[in-house]
Amino acid sequence: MIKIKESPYYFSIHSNDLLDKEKYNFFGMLSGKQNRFYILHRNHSLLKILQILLSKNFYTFSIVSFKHFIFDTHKEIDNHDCCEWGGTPNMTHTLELEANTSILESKLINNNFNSFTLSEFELQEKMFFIMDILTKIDNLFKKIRDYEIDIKKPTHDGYNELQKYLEIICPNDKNISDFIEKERQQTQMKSLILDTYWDRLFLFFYNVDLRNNSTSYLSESLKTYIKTPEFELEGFKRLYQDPHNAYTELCNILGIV
Amino acid sequence: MNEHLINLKNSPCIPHNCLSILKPSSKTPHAKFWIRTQHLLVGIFDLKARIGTFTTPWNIPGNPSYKIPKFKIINDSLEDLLDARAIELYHKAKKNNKKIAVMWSGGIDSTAVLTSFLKNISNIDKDIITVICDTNSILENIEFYKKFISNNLKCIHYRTLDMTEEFLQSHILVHGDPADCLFGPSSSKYQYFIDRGQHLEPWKKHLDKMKELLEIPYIDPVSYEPGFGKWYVNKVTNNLEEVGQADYLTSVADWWFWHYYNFKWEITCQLPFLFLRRNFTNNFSDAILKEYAHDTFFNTEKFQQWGYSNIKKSIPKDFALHKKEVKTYIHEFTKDSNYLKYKSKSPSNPGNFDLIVNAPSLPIYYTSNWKGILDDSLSIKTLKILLERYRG
Repeated sequence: MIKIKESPYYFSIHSNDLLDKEKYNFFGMLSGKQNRFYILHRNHSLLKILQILLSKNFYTFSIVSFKHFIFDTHKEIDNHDCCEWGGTPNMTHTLELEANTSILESKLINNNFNSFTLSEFELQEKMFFIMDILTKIDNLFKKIRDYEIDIKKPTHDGYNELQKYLEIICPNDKNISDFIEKERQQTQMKSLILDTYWDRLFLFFYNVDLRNNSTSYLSESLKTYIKTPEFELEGFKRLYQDPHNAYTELCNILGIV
Repeated sequence: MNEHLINLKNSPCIPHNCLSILKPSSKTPHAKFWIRTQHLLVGIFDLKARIGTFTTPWNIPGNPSYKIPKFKIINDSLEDLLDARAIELYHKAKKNNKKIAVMWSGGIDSTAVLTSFLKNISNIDKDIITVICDTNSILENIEFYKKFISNNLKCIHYRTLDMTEEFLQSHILVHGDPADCLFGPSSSKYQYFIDRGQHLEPWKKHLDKMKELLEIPYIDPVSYEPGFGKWYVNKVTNNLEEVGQADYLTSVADWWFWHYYNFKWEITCQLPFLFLRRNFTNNFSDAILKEYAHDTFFNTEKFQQWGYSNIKKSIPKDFALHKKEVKTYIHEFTKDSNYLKYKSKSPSNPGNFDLIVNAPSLPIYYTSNWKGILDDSLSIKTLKILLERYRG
């Protein structure tokens, strides 16, 4: 039997550093057709990307928020066993992009399914591969953004004061507020450029044929794409080398030597 | 011959800030010396001799539009030259139905340029002027902004502007570069001598110290390349002697004037092509490039001869008097005595500097029409070969 836990892309949704109130705040990707979970994750935004990618490849999945879902039957559900579980029929009959868990008695049930077939497992592993990459890169980009916001904060605050006093010195001036707005945007430029890199990654996954290609093919294709001039890896290196060393981290995530 | 090699023969600029990606493997030190020039000298974007020998890895000939004028002592006053140039460009703009876009950093040189137009253009015609600036410009000279620009002149933020062929067809673009050379060249590289009151002493007496100051590893440990100081000082000195100016340009300060006047002039006149563009793939026609050079405010024979003639006056013994002539010109218009008394030179970032520096990819060189060529593998390879063959 093939187990997702043995995949190099496997991750658990539980960790020791979670606060108690956060412990059960996670989401599941539920196959509408099979009523079984394929993957659990704590980042709704990333799951939404995965849902779009799956939809493009004609796989129908619904996102279930466990925060508003009765899952007392298995409070410790995790990625290694989520595929054995689904929702009560009254919920799955009305599956939408975001599952409606407020329907009476919507709750987690054990479906006693057989193990995944090879093709189901392959799909599940592709989902883990994508989420593993996206999660790590999302964390890396968040670290860069937080740093940029932190170091630019004095500049940002300074602009408020500058505007206030320059407008006292030059009453009715038509340039100052406009200039300051433009320069404020400029201070956020490094963060904004990250969005461009994120968009390129998203488009890579969107354009690739998830259905007919293996996980290893996806992995190799991604490495090849990252090195193409369109991705502008050199630009990333130049912009985020110091002090984050983000370039090296990005290469490590993608397995680029 | 590959396409890059053909382009490079007439490139107006191979920017030094992009050279570090070339990583020459040459065993001779000269390739590394060339790369180090960006770190060890101030404000270097490219170097090219307008006259005399000064080999570079690319040996690109100088552009005739920026040629060095005849070495001649003239007695014209700076005031007359500034007024005449503003009137000339104003009439040209009127005749060709163009606007005058003034890049105003707030510093002394660009304030002198803007002042020359404000002084010589009647109020009714002030809408011909557009000021390109940012909040740094305002802060550098708040009173000037308040009195003469705010609610008086149209302004565009540096970062909004994209200098394209179309922009230059409808605007005469003027800026303060390279007035820093004419009114007393960059002082930081001979600050050591200024601090000791030795900057007007003969460079022949201080050559060893000048070499040593470009050599000291702790100034920039990353860029330190043993032998750079000796190589570079000899290179410039040999050129100065070769062109027969060593008996006129005699002091340490004169030596650095020559460094700017002969090697930095051409690229400094054209800095907007590096720092005022948003799309480097745009071309500029030969005609517009010629017009641009002609309209570059200080790129006239007279201004250059004024700088050459007044070199001893421009770099005084007491550095507090630095740029006094040009500050006096501004003061006569603004009547701002504090400015005349206290304003001193401070470096300004050119145009969209931050925007460019933070751009994901920058041109590794430019074609003769200022189209930026990005760092694809063949362009890098071509530049690397030329750099590795460089023998100083």
